[in-house]
Amino acid sequence: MCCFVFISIGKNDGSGSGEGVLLKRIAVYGKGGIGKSVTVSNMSVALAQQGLKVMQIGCDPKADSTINITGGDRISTVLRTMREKHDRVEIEDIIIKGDFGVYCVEAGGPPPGVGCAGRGIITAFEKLKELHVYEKIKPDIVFYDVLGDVVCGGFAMPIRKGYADDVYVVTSGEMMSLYAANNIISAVRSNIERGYAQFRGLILNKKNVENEEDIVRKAAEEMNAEVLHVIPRDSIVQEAERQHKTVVAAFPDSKQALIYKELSRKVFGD
Amino acid sequence: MIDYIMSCLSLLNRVSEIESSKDIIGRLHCQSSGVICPLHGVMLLNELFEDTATLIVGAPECVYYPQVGTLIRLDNPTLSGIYTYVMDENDVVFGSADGLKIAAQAVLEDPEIAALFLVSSCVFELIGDDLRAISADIANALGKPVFPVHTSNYDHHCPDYFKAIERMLEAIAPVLSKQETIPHSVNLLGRIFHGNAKGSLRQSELGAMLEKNGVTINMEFPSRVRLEHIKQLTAAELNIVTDRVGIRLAKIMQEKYGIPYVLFESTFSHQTIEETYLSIGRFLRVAWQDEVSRLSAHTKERISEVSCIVEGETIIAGCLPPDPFQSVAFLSKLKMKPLVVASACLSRGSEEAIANLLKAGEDPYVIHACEREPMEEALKTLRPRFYVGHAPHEKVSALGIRHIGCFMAEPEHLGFRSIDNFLLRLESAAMQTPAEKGCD
Ligand SMILES: Nc1ncnc2c1ncn2[C@@H]1O[C@H](COP(=O)(O)OP(=O)(O)O)[C@@H](O)[C@H]1O
Ligand SMILES: [Mg+2]
Repeated sequence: MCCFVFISIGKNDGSGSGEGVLLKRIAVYGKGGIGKSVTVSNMSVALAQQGLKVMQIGCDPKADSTINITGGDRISTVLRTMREKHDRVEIEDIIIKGDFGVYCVEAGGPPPGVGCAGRGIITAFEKLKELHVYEKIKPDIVFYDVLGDVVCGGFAMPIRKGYADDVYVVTSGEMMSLYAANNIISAVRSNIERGYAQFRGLILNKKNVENEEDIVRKAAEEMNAEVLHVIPRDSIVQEAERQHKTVVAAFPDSKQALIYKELSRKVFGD
Repeated sequence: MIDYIMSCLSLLNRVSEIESSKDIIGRLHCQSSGVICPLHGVMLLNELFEDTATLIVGAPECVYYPQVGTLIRLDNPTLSGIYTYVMDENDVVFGSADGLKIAAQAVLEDPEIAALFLVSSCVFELIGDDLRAISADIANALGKPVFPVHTSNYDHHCPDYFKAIERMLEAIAPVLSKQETIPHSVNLLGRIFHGNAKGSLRQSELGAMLEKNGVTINMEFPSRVRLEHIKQLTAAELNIVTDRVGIRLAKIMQEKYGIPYVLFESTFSHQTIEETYLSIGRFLRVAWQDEVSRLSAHTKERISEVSCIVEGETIIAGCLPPDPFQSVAFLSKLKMKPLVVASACLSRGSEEAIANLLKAGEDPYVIHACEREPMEEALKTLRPRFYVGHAPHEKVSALGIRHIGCFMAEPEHLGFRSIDNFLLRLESAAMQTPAEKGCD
C-alpha cells in the first residue's frame, strides 16, 4: 500500500455503508433460558437447508448460541479473539461454517461479574462492521440471538439502525418471561426513528405451564402484539442436543422439525 | 446542565452559595488536556460553518477540551457556536436523551442557527446511548437538521482529531441534494488543519493547473460556508479529495450522486502525483500530459541534486502532512540519516514507508507526536544537523540545529511544488554551511 492511495475514478472500494445488502435481518430476544438459541438455530438450519445463505450471531456472553450448529464445538468469540489478536482479527478467526453452511458467530463477553457485557456487544458489532462481514459474506439472512432483556444500551444494538429489521420475542407462559417480553417490546417501540427495527411478534416456546396458550394470548393482546407461532415442548430437542445438533438436522422428518420449518417460513417470508 | 462557553463570572457561585464541593464551579469543569482528542477537530471545523452550532455531550473531562480550546482560540467565545452538555450521574445511568433535548432546544431557539452538530464523546459512547435516535428525535421536534457525530478516544485504533473532522463532514451529507452538474468542474474536498493552516487550495499548484486548463473549481470544502450552500457540492463532475478528512463524504457522494472521486493528498511521491494528474486529466478531458511530465521530471531532477548536497546528514522529523513515516522514508531516499520520527498514529501509507525505511538500513526512534519532552531530549542528545517539525525556532537554533519548519504545512501545498518547496528549504539550510561534497 502506498501513502498516497489512489482510488481509480469510478471504482468503489467496497467500504461504503453496506446497508441494504441483505434480504432479512432478524433479532430474537427473550429471557435467559427461554429457548432463543434452540429456536434460532433450528430456523437457521431450516433456511440453510433450502439453499439460503444464513448467518447466526449469538449475542450472549455465554456464547452457546450456535453450539448445536457447530457440532458441539465452541467457536472463538469475537471479543476473545479481539483480546488475543488485537488489531489483527480477520473474518476467518471469528466466523465458522456449521451444519448446512450456516455462518456462525459468537459475540462473546466478559465472564460474569467483571467488565461490561453490554459494552462488549457494542464492541463486537463494531468489529463486524469494520471487517465488512456483511458485505463480504453477503448472507441472505442474519439472525441475532440476543440475551435476555434489553438491559442496557449495549443489548439494544441489534435493534438499532443498520442491524436488525425485524424483532421477535421468545416467551413462555411464565410471568417472568412475559415481563421480559413486555420490556423488550417497549424498548423496540420507543425507538422513534424510521429505519429502526420493528417488533413483529411473539414466539411461544412452551414450558407446559397450565393454560399456557391462553395466558400468552391474553398478555399479547395487552401488549398489542401477535402470537406468531407456538412451539411445543418436546424431549426431541434434548435428544438432538445430545448429538450436538438441531432438531431440523437430526430429525428432519419429526413433527417438531416441521414446526421449526414453518416458523422459519413465517419469519423469512416465502 | 448546559455549560456555555463564557468568559465572565456569572456562572460562579459565591461562598454563600456553597453547600457541597459540587457547588464550587470553575468556569470550566475540570483541568486537563489532550492534544489529539477528536473534540479538537470538532472545534476546528465548527469555526468554518457560519450558521450551525455544535453541542458536545460528555463527561466533564471530555467537554473541558473544546471549552478551553474555544476560549483560547477566539476573541469572543460566546459567539463560537460551541456548547457543551455535561453528563451527570443520572445521565450516565439513564442516558442523556431528555437533557439533550432541552439543551438542543435552548441552542436551536436562536433563529440564526440553521442546524446542530450533536457530538458524542467517550462516556456517552461507552454506555451505548443512541446518538442517531436522539438526533432524529430532536430534529423532528425542533424542525432543524441535527447531525449526529460519533467521537470517542478509544475508537478505531487511531484516536485523532482528523477522524472527528471526517465524521462531521460525513454527517452533513443528508443536506445534500442533486444539483445540476456544471460541466468540467471539480470540488476540492478536505483540507489540512495543522498549525492553524490558512489559505485556499486554489492557490496550490493543483488549483492553478485546474484553472489554467479551464476546469471550474465548484467548491473548496470545508471552507467558510453557510449551510444552504453546501448543497452546491453535488454540482461537480469530480471530487478531488485533497485530504483524508474528505474521504467519507466523497464516498457518500459517489454512492448517492454518482460523483466519482480521486485522492490527491500531500505526498513526497512525484510518481503518484504524476499518475493522479494524468487520471484527472483523462476524466476531465484535459490534455496536460506534457506539462505534468515536465513538472515531474523537474522534481525528479531536484531530488537527485539535493540528495547530493544532503547525503549522509542527520535529521529528526515529525510533523504532518504527509504521513511522517512517508516523509522520513523520503529523507532516506535523499540518502539522509533520519534519527527520530514523531508520529501520533500510523496511516494508510505508513506500512510501506516503514518497509522502505528499513530496506534503506534506517531505523530511527519513534516518538509520540504529542509528547514534547522526549523530542526536546532527543534534539539535545542526538544533535542532528536538521530538524523538521514544530518547536520554538530559537530553541532549536540554540542547539546548533537547522530548523526547517514543517514538511508541507500550508493548504496550498499540493502537487510537485510541495516537494520542490521542501527541497528548496532543505537545500538552503544545508548551503548555509555547505559541506565539501563536489556537487554541481
Ligand atoms: N421446545 C423445547 N422443547 C424442549 N426443550 C427445549 C425447548 N426449547 C428449549 N429447550 C431447552 O431449554 C434449554 C435452554 O434453551 P436455550 O435455547 O439455550 O435458551 P436461551 O438461548 O434462551 O438462553 C435448551 O438447552 C433446551 O434443552
Ligand atoms: Mg442462548
